[in-house]
Amino acid sequence: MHTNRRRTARRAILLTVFTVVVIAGSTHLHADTGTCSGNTITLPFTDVAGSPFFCQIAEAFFSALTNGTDASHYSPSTNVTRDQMAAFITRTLDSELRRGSRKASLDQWEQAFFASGATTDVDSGPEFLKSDGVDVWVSNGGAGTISRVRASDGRLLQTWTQAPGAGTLVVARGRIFITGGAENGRLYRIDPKELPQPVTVVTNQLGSFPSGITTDGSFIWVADADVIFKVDPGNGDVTTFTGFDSASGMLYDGSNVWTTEDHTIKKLASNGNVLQTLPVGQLAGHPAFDGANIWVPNDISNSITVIRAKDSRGEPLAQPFVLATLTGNGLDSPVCAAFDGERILVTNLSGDSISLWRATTLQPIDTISTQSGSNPFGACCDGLHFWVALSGTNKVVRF
Amino acid sequence: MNRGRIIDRAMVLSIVLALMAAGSSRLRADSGTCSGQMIALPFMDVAANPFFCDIAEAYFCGLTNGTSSSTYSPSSIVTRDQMAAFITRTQDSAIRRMNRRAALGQWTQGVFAGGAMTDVDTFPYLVKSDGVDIWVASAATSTVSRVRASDGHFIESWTGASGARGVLVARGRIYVTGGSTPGHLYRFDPSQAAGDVVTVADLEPYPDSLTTDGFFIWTACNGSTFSNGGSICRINPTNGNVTKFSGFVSPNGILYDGSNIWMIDLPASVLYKLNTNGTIAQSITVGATPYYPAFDGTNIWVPNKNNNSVTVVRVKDSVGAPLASAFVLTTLTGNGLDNPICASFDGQRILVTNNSGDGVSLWKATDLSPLGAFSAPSGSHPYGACFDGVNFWITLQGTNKLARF
Amino acid sequence: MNHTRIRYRAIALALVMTVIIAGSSRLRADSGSCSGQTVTLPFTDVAGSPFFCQIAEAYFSGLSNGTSATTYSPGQNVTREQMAAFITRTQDQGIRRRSYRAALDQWWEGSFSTGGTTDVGNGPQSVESDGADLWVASFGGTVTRVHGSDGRALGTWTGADMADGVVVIRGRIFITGETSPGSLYRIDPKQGAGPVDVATNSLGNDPRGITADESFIWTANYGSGSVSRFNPASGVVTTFSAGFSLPEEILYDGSHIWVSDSGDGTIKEVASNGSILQTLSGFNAPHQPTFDGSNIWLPDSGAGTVTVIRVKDSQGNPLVQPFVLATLTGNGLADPYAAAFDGERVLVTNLGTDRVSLWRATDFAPLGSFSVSSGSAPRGLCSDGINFWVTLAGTSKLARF
Repeated sequence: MHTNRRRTARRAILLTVFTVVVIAGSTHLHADTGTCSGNTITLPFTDVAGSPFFCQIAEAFFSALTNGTDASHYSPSTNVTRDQMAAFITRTLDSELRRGSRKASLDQWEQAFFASGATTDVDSGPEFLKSDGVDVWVSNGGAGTISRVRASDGRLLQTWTQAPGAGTLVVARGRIFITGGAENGRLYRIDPKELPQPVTVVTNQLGSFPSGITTDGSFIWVADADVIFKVDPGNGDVTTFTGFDSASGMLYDGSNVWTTEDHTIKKLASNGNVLQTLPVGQLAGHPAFDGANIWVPNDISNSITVIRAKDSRGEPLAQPFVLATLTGNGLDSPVCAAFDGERILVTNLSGDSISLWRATTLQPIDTISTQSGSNPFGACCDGLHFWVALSGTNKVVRF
Repeated sequence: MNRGRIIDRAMVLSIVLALMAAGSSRLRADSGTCSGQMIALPFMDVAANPFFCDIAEAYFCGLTNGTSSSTYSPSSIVTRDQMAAFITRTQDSAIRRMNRRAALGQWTQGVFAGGAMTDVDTFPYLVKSDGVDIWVASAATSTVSRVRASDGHFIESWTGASGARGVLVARGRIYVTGGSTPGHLYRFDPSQAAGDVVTVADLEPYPDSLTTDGFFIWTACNGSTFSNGGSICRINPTNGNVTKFSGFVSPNGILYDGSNIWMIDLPASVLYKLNTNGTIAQSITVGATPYYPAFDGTNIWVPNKNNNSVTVVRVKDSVGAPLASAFVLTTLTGNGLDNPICASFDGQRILVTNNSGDGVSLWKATDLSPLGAFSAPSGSHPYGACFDGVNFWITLQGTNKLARF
Repeated sequence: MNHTRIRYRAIALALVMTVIIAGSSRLRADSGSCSGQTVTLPFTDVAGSPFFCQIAEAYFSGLSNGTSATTYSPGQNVTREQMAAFITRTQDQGIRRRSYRAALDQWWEGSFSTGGTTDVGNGPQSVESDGADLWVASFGGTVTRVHGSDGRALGTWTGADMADGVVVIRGRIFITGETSPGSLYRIDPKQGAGPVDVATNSLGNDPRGITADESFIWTANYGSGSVSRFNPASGVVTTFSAGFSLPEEILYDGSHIWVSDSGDGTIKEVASNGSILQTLSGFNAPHQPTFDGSNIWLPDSGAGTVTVIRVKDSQGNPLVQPFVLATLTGNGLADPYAAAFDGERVLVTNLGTDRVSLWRATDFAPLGSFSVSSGSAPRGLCSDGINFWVTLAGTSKLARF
């Protein structure tokens, strides 16, 4: 047990310390002083003492939203120009996202990296996965099972069976819905409240290659090559919309369903009509939405197409458009994208790696290897960590 | 996995060229390097600007659209009305991106579905979450049920909470109000095996909702006649001492905004702000038969059952300090309101249960804009509501269920 | 019946008129349609603005109060000082509205209570959360896992002699053991409770603080005046002594390692090769700092202060020249020991008075100090995103705040 640390000649040291602190600080904080929330606050600026916004300037300086116009001036009365405005608001946004993220409160400041201890063995051929916020549900396509893994520590909890070709998943309506691909297409369903058992088959009227899956809250939508299926989860009724070509990924942005095809992305109405078509890269896969933009991984083009889908108020744009096409950053057969609040992760199937971007700036962060032969495919977020399915090594890994 | 697609290399090349041409009509303008990456913007007036990368970020995440399709006008002075647009977009973007459901890829507003409902004990009243489980008070069975939030699995019930109505998660315990004359404050330890609750104190008749200021437990007590003699009880949880504050008709809703206790006096149609000694600091007139309010960090939202309205009251200023004088911002109507009972906040939206309308109504909290009404099953009679960090949870009195929304 | 109805109508009319008149002094002014709803603001100068609805939102959500009770002055230029107010309100509002505590209706700052404690092993030192559970290292040789939602003890791991620091990383829990030479214990949380693994016992003597970057586990070794870097892949330990006196605690800010050194009263920024990049001096007994995304908060029990140091800019890039922003006093500080951040606030334990002290992180506003039970000796702490959790060295408990 620790003893109290002895402090000798404390007052003498304190005086020296005080002097040293003042001297050390003086090159920075020698200027205007005021009282804010009962604290005496000193700023490095010499032109803010009389400002009615002294305390707000202090807060902006303390939380790194501003550095002043130079080392000793804030220039409080100078008008703000639109270019400066861009800096102010993007710093504000990014600061909020960083400070308010769950990772911040858990002291998790490290960048993503691969650790074998953060992997969990599942059954053969895990390709897709999805979290309900507490557990991660993994489709083992080879084994035809679904694994339930606890997100906080990666412990394998349960396995559901008799789901041959288990593919993409969506957590909706208190259930887990899973496509059963590569055979007469099925939609499976799990009730997570129950004990593990064979999955329920909602319908076997999906096509031969059911791929992406999403929900608009009421229906389950499944992409399948040349058709899109809209399934009523209550009674299993299937409505089929034709006229598509290699439809693969599915996404719901809060207002519309979107589907990726070989080199396009289409925005759909609830009656299946195509509202808009935009060009993306070759062999577009499974996209992610970050609240404003859709990120589309393009397997053959080794690129990411970023589509502006909504405005900052969350309203759908009348005319969505391609914002940018991103390359490099280790892209090598990118197949699936996921969002964690701050970053976009994309899996590189051939590259045996994942690539990360900052969502607000579209800037690349890093590429991280998931080890040779891992063939990372599906990706999701549990609200705190990213999870990736390693189809080549029958594991899931947490970043 | 067989994706079943045929790749035509000539087609690829022509598509790439087409993309370059198509893209160029939009993004032919200024370019720059940001964090080592080439960035192209549609604006033609920002190329050499020291804030080029900040303008790029503001454009990418929708905080600005420029002054025209090809100009950003970087040297123009920002006016206050433009400022309002910039900061509200910034705030809304942050709130939306930080949403836990965004990270889970769940962009729906919410839905009532049979599979997302859990049977609970008879006549569920109010409900609260600890972030992992949902706790529901059921008046008829005098029990408190525990449901796992992630999957809706019914875990267990605590018993002996006579007439259980209100629930509070605080101090490592679950506090419950219940009973008639006298009323009771109950408590139990959720880390122990389920069993009987413990009675902390006797209260005034018909205690309803409850809250804490960090130390005391405060309960709204309807009173035995529901038309006079109602009161507020303040309980010291360490020794069970009760202090009663009278002078109210029939309190039902109560909350703490971080600075003050606020309570609803139903027959008086008044929202009261209380001092720590229980005296009235301010009274605000709201609508007819107000019930259980919610706080969003700045404003209190009061559902007015018989007016089919929601009164929004500004109680804090922009830095989070209590206003010397709170005031009504507006009264919201429409949006499916039909005997609204209980309000709840999820960081972004306010939800209100519609007891007769058999559904819920939602608003965006920052700008009070309506997001629509959503139906629960007919005859379900939604009553209490809370948020667990990911989903709303609604008690359905008509069908004795707890529904995830 | 008819008479009654007529009388009620007269009353209703009077009431309606009263409401209009009463309201008119406040909300008689500009109206517009936003999202299909009629919106009325107290301002008289915004009716024709193309940004009417955004002004409404700024007003409703508390980002702006206008230039007077009845004016917003939409055409007026924004000055930099006003800008500071706008952006800090925006930042703080967003963080507050989005906090987990707001989501759970927990608007009170926090409280200590008997019911909010869990018994843990003898002499608890540090605690960390994995997002669901808390992991408490106790000097008596155990590590306890506690469920965050209800405080239930889930398991106790043994054999962790003189356990002190904890870090959750790489799918494991790593714990320092203050032996000589130093021990590094490891737990796989997927497995049931049992004896801890020993990852290495070749750390410098008396390792206390522990942290991790993307590649290594780092420990501050008080007994040998060194910092150890453990490679979990190879098991190799590299120990750096040059420039360290009595290193105590250590953190990683996403870019660099920081070490508090109570021997020479400094906090040092350390590169991954062990070289010292920056030294900030003038402290007396600096202990366990925390990072809030921009700034490091460093409690100094000798000076009785908490020093806030800017180490990163708003984009998260490390500053070339970190500098002291402020030295905080008062607010119940008495031998402050350890700090933690929850997204919005920083909490500090005080060894001297069985109290904790709380500040708002963005503007350093003091939020008060709070008493733990007498003799509790609050020591280490962490946030799990909802609550702070504090180890009580005097009573061998973990307390929820």
